[in-house]
Formats: sequence, structure tokens, C-alpha cells
Amino acid sequence: MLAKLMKYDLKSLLKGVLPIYLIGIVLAIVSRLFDVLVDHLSFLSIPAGFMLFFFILAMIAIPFFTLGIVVMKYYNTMVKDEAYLTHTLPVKKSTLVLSKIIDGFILMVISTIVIILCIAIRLFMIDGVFTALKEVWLSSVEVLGLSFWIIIIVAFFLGFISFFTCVFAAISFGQKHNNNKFIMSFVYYIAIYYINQIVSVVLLIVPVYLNKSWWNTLNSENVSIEFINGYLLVALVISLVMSAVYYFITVNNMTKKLNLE
Amino acid sequence: MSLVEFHNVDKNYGAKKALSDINLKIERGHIYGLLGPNGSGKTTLIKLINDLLTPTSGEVLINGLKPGVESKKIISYLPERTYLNMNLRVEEVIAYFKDFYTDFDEDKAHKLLDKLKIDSKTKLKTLSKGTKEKVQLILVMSRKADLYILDEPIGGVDPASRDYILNTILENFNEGSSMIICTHLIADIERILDDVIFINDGKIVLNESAEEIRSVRKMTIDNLFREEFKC
Repeated sequence: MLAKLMKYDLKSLLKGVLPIYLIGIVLAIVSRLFDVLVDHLSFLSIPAGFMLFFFILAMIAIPFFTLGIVVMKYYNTMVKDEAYLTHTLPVKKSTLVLSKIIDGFILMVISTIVIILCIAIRLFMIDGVFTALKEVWLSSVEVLGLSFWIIIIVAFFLGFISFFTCVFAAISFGQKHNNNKFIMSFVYYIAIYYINQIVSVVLLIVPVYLNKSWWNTLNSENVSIEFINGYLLVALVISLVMSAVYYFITVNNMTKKLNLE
Repeated sequence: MSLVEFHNVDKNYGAKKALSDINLKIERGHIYGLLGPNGSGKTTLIKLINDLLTPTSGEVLINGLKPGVESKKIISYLPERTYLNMNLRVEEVIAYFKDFYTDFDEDKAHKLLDKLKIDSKTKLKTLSKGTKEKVQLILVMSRKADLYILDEPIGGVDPASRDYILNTILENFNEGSSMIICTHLIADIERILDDVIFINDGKIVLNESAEEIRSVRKMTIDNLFREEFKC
């Protein structure tokens, strides 16, 4: 059932984000073409500047648009009219919620790939740019180590799961209200977000503050990369645990406290 | 064991009591008319059976179990609103139902669509309100369910099509299955009802067989409703 749910939701989500992906790719190609032409036709410099501006705008818009589409799809299928079908499917609520989280994650990965592709198109055949990027990457790996970058990439993607579970939990509380479900979901999101921040600060900062040796290490100029990696790993584990808590809260609310209009 | 049982069920929306001390049994093989004025609690009662709401107190049992995955396998529910993704084509929602409901008969759905001259390639959002309702009804009636729950199945359909829809319901209703129909168009449906439940202010005020109403009270269900709920 999980695979079936994911298949239908992902198909529907992709239909929603496809236009902005296409806009991003087209702007990347057009902006690059203008860039090439402007060397020979100087009067194109102003349109070329506009194209670059719109391209950058599209690159910023893609992740926000994707997050918005995932959240709205979740809200429509779990709380609004389509929820009447979703919640009468012979599927466990845990499976329903899990499918939405995985679909959201997959869509964010696809969006990231599209952004990288667009940037690659925009930089295509610019002398030395890929070599320069490669050098920056290699030197950063040399300085900070591959483990650091792997942790950063994992944290980047886990951030999406953390965001979706947090929003889904907020909606699961908001839907319990008889009126203003959407506004209440937003209010709960703000509350959960701040609780999340407080818990993270308590778990990440307070132990370091209380431990003199850790505090001195973190404040020294020669803080080791192993210490930073360890610290980031703890932050990742905390984020994962918080996401699991939000998931169970969502499933519990949707199972025991569902209140469709 | 009855198919559906309500034991002392209360449902409150904040301070407002939507249902109060409901005790009810839905037996197998019967067609029930769940009738009452606006805001009487009909849809709340139906939502409780479908696990779309949880009771404030009391217990709802379907086949002896609390509403959940098992009850959803045997209940085919038509809500009073459009609950399909409007960006899909009719054939896509048929594929969707086939994927999720093992009792869904795809051939039957296509035959019913053909009879109503609905093109399965059409996008749902391009259909009229009445045709969307017909598509939903076809999906629901193409399941071989133990219990069909139809909330306002003919509300958005023109009077000329109502008889056709009701016949479709009867022809595709499995023997031994039960059905709960909730509507204001009592005169249109009363010929198909076995039992009648009147609900008002969240309380069941009448639970009687249609035959008794006709033979003992010498009234049509429509007339009894008008008398019971006259303003």
C-alpha cells in the first residue's frame, strides 16, 4: 500500500512542480544564450541582465515552490475535501503519513537536482568555471575532510524531513479545531518551531556550556574538525529523534482525533 | 452481531452537542433511510461509521470492531461533497479505486460509465457538478461492499436522472449487503427503503420499518417526515 500511495501522490506532486522546473531550465538556457550573444551584440546587455535576474529568482523560487506544493497537497488530501477519500482508504494512518513524508523528501531531492542542472546549463562552456569549481571543492575537502561534507549533505536532506514532519504535526493539531483549521495549523507550526529551537539549544548548547573542556575546545582557534563533525552528528541525531516524535504525534492525532469538516 | 452498532455515542463540537446518546443497530441486507432536517446530526453519524470523526464518548462497532482498516475494506462511502482529485481523468480514478479496493469491479464501472455516456478519458474538472456526482456514485457502487453509505446521492442530479440513478443503485447493490441513504429528497427514494431512521437535534426520534409506516401509520415516509419536522 505504501508504494501505491507514493505512486499516486508523487505523480500529482510532479504535475504541480513541473511548470517551475521548465521555467528554470528555459531561463537557464535563454540566460546563457544572452550571455554568449552579449559578447558580439552589446545592446543586449540590459536584457541579458534581466534574464540573469529572472534566472536567479527562479532558482530561489524552486525550493520554496516545492515546499509549498508538498504542504498544500498534504493539507488538501488529509484535511480538506480529498481527505474524505484519503481517510476511507483501507490503509493505516502511519502508512498514509509516511508516504507523504517520503514523497515530500523525493520531490525536494528532485528539485535540488533540477537546480544543479539549471546552474550547470547556465555555466556551460564558460571558460575555466568547472575547473575552478572543482578546485574549490577539492581544496574544501582537503581542509575540512570528506566526512564533514558528507554530514553537511545528509543534514541538508534531513532538514526537509524535519520540516515536513514538523508541518504535518502542526496540521494534525490544527485540524482538530472546528473552525479556522488552516490558521490554527500555522499557529501550531510557529509554536512547534520554537519548541524545536528551545529543545535543540538545551540539548546542544547547555551540555557544552556546562562542560569546561568542551567549551574551551569550541572557543579555541584550533577547534578540530573531528570535534565539529561529532557536534554536527549529535545535532543530526537530535533532529532525527524530533522528526520521529512529530511523526508519531501526527499519526496519533490523525488516528484518534481526526475531525474532518 | 449487527453490521454496525452504536453504543451510547455522544459527539460534541466544542460546546455544541452534535449527537447525544445514540444507540443504533444496522442489520445486514437492509436499506436504511437516514432522514432528518439540516444540522440534525446525519452526516456526523455517517462520519463516525467511516472513521472520519471520533466519538466524544461511547463506542461505534463495525462487524464487532472499532472503525479502522478492516471496516474500510467493507464500507463503500459516497460523501455529500466532491472528494476526488479534479486534475485526474475518469479512467485514472478508476485505476486508483482498483489499486486500493480489492472488491472494486473495473468492468462494472466502465459499463456504468458507458450507460451514462461518460467518456473515461475526460478530466474530472471539465465535468458538470451532476456528472461528477454520477462518476462518484459509479465508483462507490462498483465495489462489492458489505455496507454502502450514500450521503445525498441524488442531490445534484436532475429529476429526470434520479430514477435512473436509483435503479443503478438497486441493480448494483449486492444481496446481503446493507445500505444507508441520507437525503432530503425522500419522495424520490422512499420506494427503495426497508427501514427508516429519523434523527433530530442529535437524537434518534424514530427507527421503524418502511412497511410499518405504510401499513400501520397509513402514511408515506415523505408525509411522516413532513409531519414530524414541520416548522
